Amino acid sequence: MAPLQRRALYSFVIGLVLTIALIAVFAAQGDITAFERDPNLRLVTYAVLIGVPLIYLILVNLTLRKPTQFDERDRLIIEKSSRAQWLAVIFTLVVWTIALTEVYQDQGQVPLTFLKLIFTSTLIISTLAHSFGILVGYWDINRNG
Amino acid sequence: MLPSQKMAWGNVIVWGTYLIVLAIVLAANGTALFWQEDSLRNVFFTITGVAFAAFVIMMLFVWIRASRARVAIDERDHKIMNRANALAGPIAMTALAATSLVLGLVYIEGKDSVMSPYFLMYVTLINIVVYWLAQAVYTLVAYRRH
Repeated sequence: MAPLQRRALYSFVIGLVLTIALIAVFAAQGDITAFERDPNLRLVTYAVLIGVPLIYLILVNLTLRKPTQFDERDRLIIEKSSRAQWLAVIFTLVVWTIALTEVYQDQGQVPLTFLKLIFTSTLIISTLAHSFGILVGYWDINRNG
Repeated sequence: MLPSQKMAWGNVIVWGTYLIVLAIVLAANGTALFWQEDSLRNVFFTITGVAFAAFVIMMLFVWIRASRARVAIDERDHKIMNRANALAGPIAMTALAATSLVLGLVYIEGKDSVMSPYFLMYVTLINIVVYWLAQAVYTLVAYRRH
């Protein structure tokens, strides 16, 4: 396993665990507006929001800084994964838009809290998708050459 | 001119025009509550629909001509495309953050602040349009440099 591939895998798994933990915390609260009322919930959210990109930066960027562990093929994979990252962001935004529009259709108003959650989730998913894109890139190169 | 350059020019023309037309329409007729006016909302949807249709037609046109001419895509084209995608992502995310911040600042009134569901669609649209524009501008600059 290439150094970048291994670090992308660690980054993806840790990020995924943190994201699932955050979703579980929100599910346990049962009400999305608790985000505004409960400071602990906000702290957990901010911790994951900072934690996931930070883990990615530490793990993946460390590899990028070591030229001995990083060649032209790795550079190609990391650049290609950007497309997967953007598609994941768009998909996240579309899912939020459809879900909230349908849920709040009758009220005609969406709590502003969701704007923060949309941005938070987009940033987290964008980081996860980049790691995932790197893994898929290696899988694709190993499979098809 | 290479197909990717043609697509980049098409993107700049379609989405640049879209943003300019939208800005003119909203500046001339809009209010801060423009999504509550049926006529303006319909104008917005029409402009967006026309822009998407123009984008799809332009892409098809370039793709069909490139297929017929059997244009080969070389290493340099792949490199520029990948770099353009890598650069456009963070720019689109910044646009998303800026849009969320502006909406937050405009609509925040307390802990129970609300906004129109239409804004969710605008946030998504802004992300897409900024991504395509950034990608296209970088592509044109990169081909000029190389």
